[in-house]
Amino acid sequence: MIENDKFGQELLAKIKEDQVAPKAKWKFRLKNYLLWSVGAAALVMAGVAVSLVLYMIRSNDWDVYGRMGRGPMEVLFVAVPFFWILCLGIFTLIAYFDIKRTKKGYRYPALWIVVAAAVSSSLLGIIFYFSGVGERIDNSLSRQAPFYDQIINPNIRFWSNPEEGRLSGVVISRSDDQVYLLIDMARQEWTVFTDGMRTEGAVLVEIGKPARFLGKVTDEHEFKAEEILPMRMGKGFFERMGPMPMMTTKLKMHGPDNIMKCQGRADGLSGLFSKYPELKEAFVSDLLERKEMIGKMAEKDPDIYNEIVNLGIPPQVIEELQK
Amino acid sequence: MHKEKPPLEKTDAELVALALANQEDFLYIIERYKDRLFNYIRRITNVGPEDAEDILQDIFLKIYLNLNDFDQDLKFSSWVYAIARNQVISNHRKLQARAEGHQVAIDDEAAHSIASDIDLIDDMDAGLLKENISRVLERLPDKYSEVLVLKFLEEKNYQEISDIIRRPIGTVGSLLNKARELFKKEYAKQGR
Repeated sequence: MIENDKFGQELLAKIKEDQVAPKAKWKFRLKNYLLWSVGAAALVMAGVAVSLVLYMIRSNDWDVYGRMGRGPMEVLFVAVPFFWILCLGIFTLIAYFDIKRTKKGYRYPALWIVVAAAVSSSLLGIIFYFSGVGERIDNSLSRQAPFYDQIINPNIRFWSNPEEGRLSGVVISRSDDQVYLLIDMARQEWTVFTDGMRTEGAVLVEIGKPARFLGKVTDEHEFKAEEILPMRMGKGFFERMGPMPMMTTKLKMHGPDNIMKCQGRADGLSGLFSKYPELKEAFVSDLLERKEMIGKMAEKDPDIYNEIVNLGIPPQVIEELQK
Repeated sequence: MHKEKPPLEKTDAELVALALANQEDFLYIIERYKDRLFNYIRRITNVGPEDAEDILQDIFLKIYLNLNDFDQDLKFSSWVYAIARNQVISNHRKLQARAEGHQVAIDDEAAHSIASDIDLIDDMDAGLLKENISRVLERLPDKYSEVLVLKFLEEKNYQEISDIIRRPIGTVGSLLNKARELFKKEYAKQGR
């Protein structure tokens, strides 16, 4: 037992002396609000990860792997989106620890919280997937994220192996009806012969756009295509090599040769345009499609129109862009 | 005319409101809980009375500081015990054996309650029973002895124990079952 009165009086005296005061209620509310916000954000991110897992699994070429005679272990490493599964795990854990720290989070068994987090993020993920969120994020990351092909989507590298009959890249020119020129991931130019090629559905070969071919190497930098496959996940990665992103990934242009150096390219854009007129056509078409974006860039840097002129783009195109 | 209740008849929530409005009224909360918390500190630590009083002071300072965080969905006593437990864990709980001569303080009623719940033979002398039980409690791992202390010595129910140690009710049940099992084994060893 404690001596009556004395303890309480001494404690009150200490409270007064140290000027101790109850913390304001808003601080506790803010802390609680932040905890719930972090938890909700983690669940949303987990949902995004689920949508990407679904997108990548649905976009995979399961039937093609089978036809190529790939073993299950190889397919596992190439096709399973480990990066997004890991992200899903991390965000679910964050949500779990966060919920546990809330005022009443301790009342729920760990398994319930993990299951509830997994179910909520799965439901969110399904909604995001069908809303196209997964695809949009993959497109955006594939265009810009470093290590996209090494960590996020190693499938890209799997499809860049001409010696094993898999060629992918950006189509930059067509020399006749059945022969195309393509730049692959290693910036190598390939002549692709497509006569007698099987197509899966209505897959078009478009200048300036990425494409995937199954076939075989017939000569140095020559590829006989047996099949063309639609470009699904990771198409933004190849668009990095296309003409439009070369120009628009940086807001300030320093001229075509400098762009190439900045982006580690060997050739200038204008050089490519002289060599491959269809590429220039595709570039002009892209420019006109993105007229609004070019306009916003020009507000920050009016020199952009001069740079486009320097690429050999006709003046009437510039006039159209400036309207 | 409505007659206001004297402070000591007010509910915990009413006393909290009084203390928030007037610092001096925090004394009523101190008076209501100081002895209970003092005994609780001594039951779960190996400290002497002076050190226990120091810890108790820290606990009440923390209670006062966090008074605005008290959630009326919870029992105030559970909230206060949770703060006490956390303070003891963070500042003064020792993992080594208790100081010689210090045992967990148990009254007759608590001793008989433990004995009947765990099916111990309790027809022995009350003093000897208390001594035996106290020695066994000291030997148990902390996570088991603390739930036994809360259940039998502090007379908390499962919900209150859950709110104090911040674990689900199911976990409290498992801990108590395991604690009983270990207690019986230790008690039997002691009897040999």
